[in-house]
Amino acid sequence: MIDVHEWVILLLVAALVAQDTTAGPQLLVSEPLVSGTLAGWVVGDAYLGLVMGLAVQLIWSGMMPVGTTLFLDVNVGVICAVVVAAAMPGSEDHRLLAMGVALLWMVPVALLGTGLTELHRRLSDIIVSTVRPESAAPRTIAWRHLGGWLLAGVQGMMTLAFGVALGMVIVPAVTHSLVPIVRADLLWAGILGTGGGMAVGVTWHYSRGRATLLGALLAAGFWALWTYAG
Amino acid sequence: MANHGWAEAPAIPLRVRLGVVLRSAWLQASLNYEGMQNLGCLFCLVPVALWLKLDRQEWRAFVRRHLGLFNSNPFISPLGLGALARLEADHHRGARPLAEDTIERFSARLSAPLGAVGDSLFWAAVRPQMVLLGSLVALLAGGWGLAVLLVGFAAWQWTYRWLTFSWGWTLGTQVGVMLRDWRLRRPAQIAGLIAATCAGALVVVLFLRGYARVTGTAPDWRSSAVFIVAAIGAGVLGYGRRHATWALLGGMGLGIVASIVLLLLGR
Repeated sequence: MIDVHEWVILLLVAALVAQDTTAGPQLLVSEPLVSGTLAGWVVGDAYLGLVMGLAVQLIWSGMMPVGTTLFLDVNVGVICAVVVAAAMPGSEDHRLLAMGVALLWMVPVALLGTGLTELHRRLSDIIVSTVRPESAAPRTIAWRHLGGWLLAGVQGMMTLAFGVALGMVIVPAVTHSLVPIVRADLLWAGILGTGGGMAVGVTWHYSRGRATLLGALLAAGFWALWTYAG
Repeated sequence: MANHGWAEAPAIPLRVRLGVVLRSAWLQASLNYEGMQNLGCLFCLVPVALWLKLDRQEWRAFVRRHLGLFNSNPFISPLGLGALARLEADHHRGARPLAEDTIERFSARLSAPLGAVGDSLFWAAVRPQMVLLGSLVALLAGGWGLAVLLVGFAAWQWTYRWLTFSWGWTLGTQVGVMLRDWRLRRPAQIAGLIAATCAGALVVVLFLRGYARVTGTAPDWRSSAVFIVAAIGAGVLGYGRRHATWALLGGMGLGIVASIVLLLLGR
């Protein structure tokens, strides 16, 4: 179970990730590879966080948080998925299955994050409309502006709190029902294949596949050299 | 590049330049549907207003001018901010008398091209490049992938934030020429090619090493078939810019269906 200290740190990480996504400073700490690993480290399994973060990162590698476009908030969603999966007891195979189910649970959580982003921007409309040229001092401008940044943090915390609380009930139940019929290795073959395919698909147009093929050949060549030389 | 006023740019103190560039990292904190990044733009330009020592009347006019519309890609926003700072400085010193709404109209007109050029450079090329490079290193060397992603992207964004402010300040109203310059166009092509090369390498490394590291078993014919079909399907969806959620559902669905079929066949 997650203790109070871990909850506090996780909520702060979720706030930081939600802020970094669009509000600032956009250092890409919010990317699933980083946020997933960070969440895994907080709950004591950084490797699990890295694996889940990597999968989400690759599948959503074409996502662009451009302007006021609404996008699926997988950045906070993956923290929730990692926390829920890390809390699952059982064998290695059982846990692998739970990681897959937690990735699926991430989708509705990310949708909630998207809804809260919309609400956040509507609230920012109100905040900005209160700035009057007649009375706005530099400090007033800074506080109103950074108010939007703080709201983004609250949005991340709310998404995580909801996602983890409900996920702790739903994910174990779904995992238990899938254990007799689903093989975790095949489920992860599908997830990893999807990640690789998406990465290729979204970058294909840069060279009509030539650079992609070159990368694949280089990797295969190095692997063959490594295997035979070793 | 032609000399579009490069030589005549007045000096701007380092602390003002630093203030604007650092604040630009929080440009979108109050992103809204009405004026987009308008309050963010005003927040970033406050160091310029303080440097110019505007009186009460001028300050009010300054705030009013920047509460209109401003929108840009956050990473090259200092290009627009630099140009606006230059206009404000020239206006204040009387070097370039401007109509009251000139700066406001300039700000609104600059928004669309700043967004388009910056998005095609950063969101469509540099981010995928660093993300895929970081993922590749993470597959091979664990946590080092995170360092590659964060340090690499930081180098890109802070170089561009600093340089674009200088270009904007130097060019002022002529800043439009910079949007067609190779320094904003060419890096996008190079970063895109690196991203595509990393993607190709990633598929191979995921199959040969990633799968075994995640599941603890080497891929057999069943998992190889699921991996390849899922990769082809997701590749087609990714190329068509379909929503990634469908790809995830498809890939997981394939794994589940394959498990059930094998269970029914007794394998």
